[in-house]
Formats: sequence, structure tokens, C-alpha cells
Amino acid sequence: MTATDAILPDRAPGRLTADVADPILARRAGRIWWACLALFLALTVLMVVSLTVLAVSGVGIWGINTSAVWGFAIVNYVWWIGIGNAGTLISAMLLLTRQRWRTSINRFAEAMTLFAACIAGLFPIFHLGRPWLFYWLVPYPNTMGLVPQWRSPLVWDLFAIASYILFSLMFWYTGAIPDFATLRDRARGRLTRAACGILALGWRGSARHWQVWQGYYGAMAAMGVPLVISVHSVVGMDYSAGLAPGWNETIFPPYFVVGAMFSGFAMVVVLAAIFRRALGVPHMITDRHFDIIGKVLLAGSLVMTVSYATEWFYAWYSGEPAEQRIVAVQLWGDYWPLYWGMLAGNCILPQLYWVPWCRRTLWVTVPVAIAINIGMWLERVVITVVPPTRGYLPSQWGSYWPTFWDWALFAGTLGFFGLLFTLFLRVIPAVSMHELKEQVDEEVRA
Amino acid sequence: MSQIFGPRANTVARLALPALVLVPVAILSLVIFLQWTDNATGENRIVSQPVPFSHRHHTAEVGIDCRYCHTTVTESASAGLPPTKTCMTCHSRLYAQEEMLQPVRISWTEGTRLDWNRVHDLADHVYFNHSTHVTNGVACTTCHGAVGDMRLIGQAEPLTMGWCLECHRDPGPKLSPPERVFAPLPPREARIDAGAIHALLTRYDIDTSTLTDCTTCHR
Amino acid sequence: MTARLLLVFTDTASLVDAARTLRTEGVDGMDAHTPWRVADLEPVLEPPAHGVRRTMLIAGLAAAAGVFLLQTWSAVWFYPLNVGGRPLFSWPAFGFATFETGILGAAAGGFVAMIRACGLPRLHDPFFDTAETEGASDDRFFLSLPREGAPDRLRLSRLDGLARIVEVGR
Repeated sequence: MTATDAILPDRAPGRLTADVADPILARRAGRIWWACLALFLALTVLMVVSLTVLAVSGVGIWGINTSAVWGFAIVNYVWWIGIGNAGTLISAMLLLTRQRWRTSINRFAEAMTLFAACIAGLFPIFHLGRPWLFYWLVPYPNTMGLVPQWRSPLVWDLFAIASYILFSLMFWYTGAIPDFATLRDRARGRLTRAACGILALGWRGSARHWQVWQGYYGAMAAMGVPLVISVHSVVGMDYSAGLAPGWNETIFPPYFVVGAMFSGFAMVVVLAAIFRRALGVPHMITDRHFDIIGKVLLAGSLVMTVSYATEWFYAWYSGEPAEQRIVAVQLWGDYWPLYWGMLAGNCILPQLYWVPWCRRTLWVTVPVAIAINIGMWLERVVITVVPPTRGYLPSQWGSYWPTFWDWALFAGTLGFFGLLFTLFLRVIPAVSMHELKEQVDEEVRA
Repeated sequence: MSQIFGPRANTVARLALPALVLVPVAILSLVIFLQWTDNATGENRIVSQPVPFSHRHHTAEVGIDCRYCHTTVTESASAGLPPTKTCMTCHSRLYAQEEMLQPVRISWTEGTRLDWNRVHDLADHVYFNHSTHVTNGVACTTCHGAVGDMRLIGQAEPLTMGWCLECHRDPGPKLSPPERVFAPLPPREARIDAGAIHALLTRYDIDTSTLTDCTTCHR
Repeated sequence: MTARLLLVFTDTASLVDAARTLRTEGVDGMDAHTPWRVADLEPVLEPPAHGVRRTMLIAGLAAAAGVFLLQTWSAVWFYPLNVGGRPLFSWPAFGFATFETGILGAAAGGFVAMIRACGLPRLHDPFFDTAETEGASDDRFFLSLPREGAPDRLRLSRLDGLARIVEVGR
């Protein structure tokens, strides 16, 4: 194996600690970091402004109407929660299957999950029309004598997203406790030491600690995989529990799960490339990582292609004119550029990943991953907008066009995500130091 | 020296960690509990009015029927507020010089409106219909309390949705026979007699199965 | 509690060997402080069972059962509502909240159990008395044993790979 083939860095544990911790503790933030912070902060302000305008004026400022009732809010919700799925999946599934390449990317992938899931959760709440009443979805004793409607996908969503966010937070924090201890012991500033000391809870890395930690962390990983699958199945059920042709399909839950992982992994590629550059750790995130994730993306792309083909096949095979019309409208109707863009991004471009050189070469891998993210976003647009505007009743047919505020909120949430990630890189060890060192140590001894 | 925290930090942390969860939970529980209090529901609230009109005097003592003033209660959603003219049918003669009634006379002579303040205020998304209720055996006093005993009108019931539902789920025991619907005082003791309840439900032809549908009250 | 001796090692193999040696010599009450989980150490030190996973199972089942019963009670008895003629006890639809809450309950219950089993939070501990132990989260490995009944220093100093001995109070 050549050096670039390695998954794990060939460095002493002390060096690895320094590699990860020093950018946070010792090195000062660079000019690029401040530029990113300023840009993302500006976009976050845009998000806050668009949410405020929305709260004051109501959902009428969006492009939704009585036919296209969902629009960008739900498109972006599904897109973000999809991205939010890969982190826990990478972390949990790869931990259970003992994939060693997991250790250098799981921490920031989990951060990505957490941030994306929180942003995703904003959309359904603000789409309610009266977002300040969102707590009506929670079963709590109230003078109205009401309980949530348990047969409603909106309530399933609340339980799925809330559980997922809290679960991811606990999983992420548990994994980071030993690393906070490292920061605590390494930091020199009083405030940093106290902050990390509190976050580390007094972790001493004793044999007892590790045994208990492992018991909990492993069980969390085992629960994380079915949780991720259930969360995105619920998102799929949001659609398939609706009666519109093009939504009411049994394939939706699994197809959404795969789509979510697909877009999430693609986002991991983009973030990993940025992160490797930002922290200067090409020995931790090696070309081999991109090679492996490229293969995962290729598999995801093939499953997505089969899913689209299945939709076309069943539209034809069912003999249901409404279903056939939906497929025809998607392929040749007003929104055809979106649908073909989706096919290009999700099915055609990822075929480049068959070529090992393409997987390992960043300037090919990253653009393809971005294309996948755009493709998956277009998929959600097509799925969300077309069925309700071409339903069973021609009198209900309509069209959807996003307004300025739709775009502003989307751009704003992208900025907010960037802001959270930018801050994350400066505050929390972006690589799980203890797991990385454990892996390296095992490799050395083996 | 490497200790960051003193020995007391352990106790503080051990208390603070559960508090991170318990304090918000306690605050939320308090807020939830407060929903039922009179401050939140407005129950037992007495609203000041331009004229201290005594329902007790006019109904139970004098014997004026509710419908004398609230003329539309049997036909329309709103019970109706009487015009000043209704007051003046008596008060052009009775207590015609009384200081207390000065606003009524001003309203009458100048043709301006008496601005009564609303006591029973339901949310705007509730379509409450007085006529439906009073023609189906829900007495005035069932919701408005012992009006015949109130000097100043107050809100006798919480008027929450849960309170509405109590009756909508099981209307039988709350029904009154037609001759008691407009009585100013509720019956002395509530009599729950299964036979009588059944008779009333049949009499008013009440279909209890749809009374808790969303669209019964929210359109 | 008595003071403890911390034997400092610079690699995991020496740590595990030393622990094994001392164990066979009958040293009790040993613990270790390591920057990462050293799996080989567990069969040597045999820390007692912690029951975190059992707590998780119980908490998860309790949360799931609670939410399922809440849904059943509210949909069948508290507010029976006819939605398109579906049965009031529409349990397949109740599965989502049940499952998600079950997982959340297990995760939260397990988190509390983990913190408690580890004896955390413990911001102040004799272990932190000396700056030496800062390496325990970097690349140093500490084998901790009670000073009472420990082998004498000469014997300890003959352990392979021992870097030095640190004493911490209680």
C-alpha cells in the first residue's frame, strides 16, 4: 500500500492529538475563516429576516397556492433532513460493521446531521402558518381537551424529527466527551479549560469509564441505524399517506431513505474536502476516503435509478391514467428541465464513479457530489410540486413558482448551516481523536 | 497544579445537571397548570360597564324574560344586545331622574350607542350559535351561570374548548326541558335521571355522534 | 479512601502486560486511565458489570409502551374521532410515535445511566491534582493501584516500559 492508499494516518498518538486539537486551541483563525463567517452570518441574517417577515405576513409571501400547497418549505425540509441522515448513518452503521475509515469523518458527519436536522425542523414549523402554535403537536394537558391526531403524518414528523435531533445530540456528545477531556487537559486559557472541563464532566478515561462508555455508545449505534431509517420513512410517509397520484406509492419510504443517504453522503464528500483543506489534515482524510465514499455514492445512484424506473414502470403497469399523467408531466411537462436535471445529477453524472481515478481526484469527486446534491434537491421539487398540481381533478390543476422569500429562506438556511459548521470547526474537535488513536494503536500492534 | 475546579464543583455539577432538565420541565408544567386558572380563562371575571346593569334585579326580581332584551337568541347565532329604546320602554318613566341612568338617557337623546363591554368572548375561529343551543335544550344558565343572581354580569364558566367538549361529548345531563330554558336561575339540584335524559335527547332529536366533529364548531 | 499510585506507561502493550503481571501477583483494586479504550485491558481488570444496556432496554420499552398507551387512550377513549371511517384503535398509525419515542427513551435513559455508572459529573478529583495526569487524555497510559498493599517501588520499577510513578491523594 502506498501512503495515499492508507486510511489511517501513520503518526504517533501525540501528533494526532496535536493535529486535531491545535487548530482549535493554539492556531488563530485565518482570514478565509473570518470571510466565511462574515458571509454565512450575512446569510443567517437573511434567514432571520425572511422568517420574521413570514411570521408577520403569513405563508402568502411564498409561492404556494391552493393547488401547490407545499412548495419550497417542504422541498427544503426533505432535502435538509436527507442530508441530516448520513451523519448518524455513517457513524452508527460503520461503527457496527467495524469500518476503519469511519473514524476520521464521523465527528463532522454527525455535526452535519445535527445542524441539518435542526434546520430541517424549522420548515414544517414555519409552514404551519401559525408557527407560534407548533406546540399543539405535542401531547400535553391543555384546556382545549385536545390531543394530537395520531393518524396525521405531521404528528409523525414531529416525533421523528424531535427524537432524531435529541438522539443525534446525545450520540454526538457522548462520542465527544473523551475529546473534550483532551481539550481540557491541553488548553491553557482559563476560560477554555473551564468550558471544556464542564463539557468533559470530569472524564478521566478510567477503565470503568471506557467500559461503560463503550456499552452505551455501541448500543446507541445499534439503535441509530433503525432510527435513521424510520425517520426518513416517516418523511416518505408524509407523501405516500396523501392521496394524490404520484404521492400515494408504497415505494416512497425506502426510496426516500436511500435518497436521503445518497444526498447525505454527497454532502459529506463536499464537507470533507473543505474540512481537509481548512484544517490541513490530508493524512486523516485521505484520497482513499473519497474512493470509498465514491463507491457508496455509486451504489446509491444505482438504487435511485432503479427507483425512478420503478415509478415509471408502475405508472404504466397500473393502467391508472392519473399516475401516467404525472410521469408524463414530470418528463415532458412544464417542469421538464428540473426532472432531467435531477436525472443528470442523480443517475448519469455519478456513473463517473465507476472510474477509480474519478473517485480519487477531488476536482471530479466534489463537483459530482455537488451535482448529486442539486439533483436530489430537484427531485424533491419535482415530487412536491407536480402531483398536487396535476391531481385527479383538472379543476385543481395549477402551477407553482417560488417567490423571492422562498429563495431567501433557502439561501438563508444554507448560510445558517455554513455558519454552524464554521463555528463547529473552531470549537469542537472535528475528528474523533480517541477513536482515531485507538484505531492507529490497534493497527500498530497488529 | 491541574485542578480546574474546587471540591464544591462536584456538588454543583451534580445538582446542575439534573436541573438542566428539571427546571425547564418545572417551568413548563407551571405554565401548563396556569392555563386552568381564572387569570387565563377569565372565569369569575366581572367586567365594568357604562351602566351598572343588574341582571339579578331585571330577571329574577322583576321577572323580565331573557328574550325581552336578547331578542334574536332563538333565531340567530348572536343573542343580540338591546337597543337603548328597549331600556327606555321602562326607564322613560321609572327612575327617570336617576343619576345612574344618565348614560342611557344621553344615548337616547343623542342617538349614540351605549358601549357595553363583552363578557363572554369566544375565539374568532369558533362558530358558536345561540339559537342552536337554546332551541335544543341548553338553558341560558348552563353557560352563563346564575344570571338571576348576578348584580353585575360575570363570566361564570371557563369557556375553554375542553369545557365546551364536556357537554358536547355527553349533552344529556346538561339539557333542560323547554319551559326551563329561559329560567334566570339554574335548578336547585342537578337531577341525573337516565330516563329523563333519554327523553330529552329524543325530544330535541340530538345526534350525539357528530357533536365532537371538528366542523361542528370550526368551519 | 487511601492515596493511589499511578504507574505511567507510554504504550498500551506495556500497560496491559503490567496490569496482567500485577494481577497475577494479587494486586487488587486496580484501575487504568487511558486516552482511548484499550480493549485488552478489560479482561485483566474485570470491571464490574454496569447494566447500562439493561437500563436502556427498560427505559426504551417503558417510553414506547407509555406513548402507545397514550395514543390508544386518547384516540379510543379520550377523544374518539371518526376519520374517514377508520377504526378508532388504528394501531399501525400509532407505530411511528411509539418507535421513535422508544428509541429516544432508551437513548436518554442510557445517557443518564452511563453518566451515573461512570461516576460523572466529577469535575474535582484527586486524579487532577497533578499536571502529570494531563497526558491521560493524550498519549500516556496510567495504571492506578491503591498505595496500601501495593508492591514496593523497587518491584514496580522493574515493570517493563514503566516511565515513572506518580502519587495522588484522596
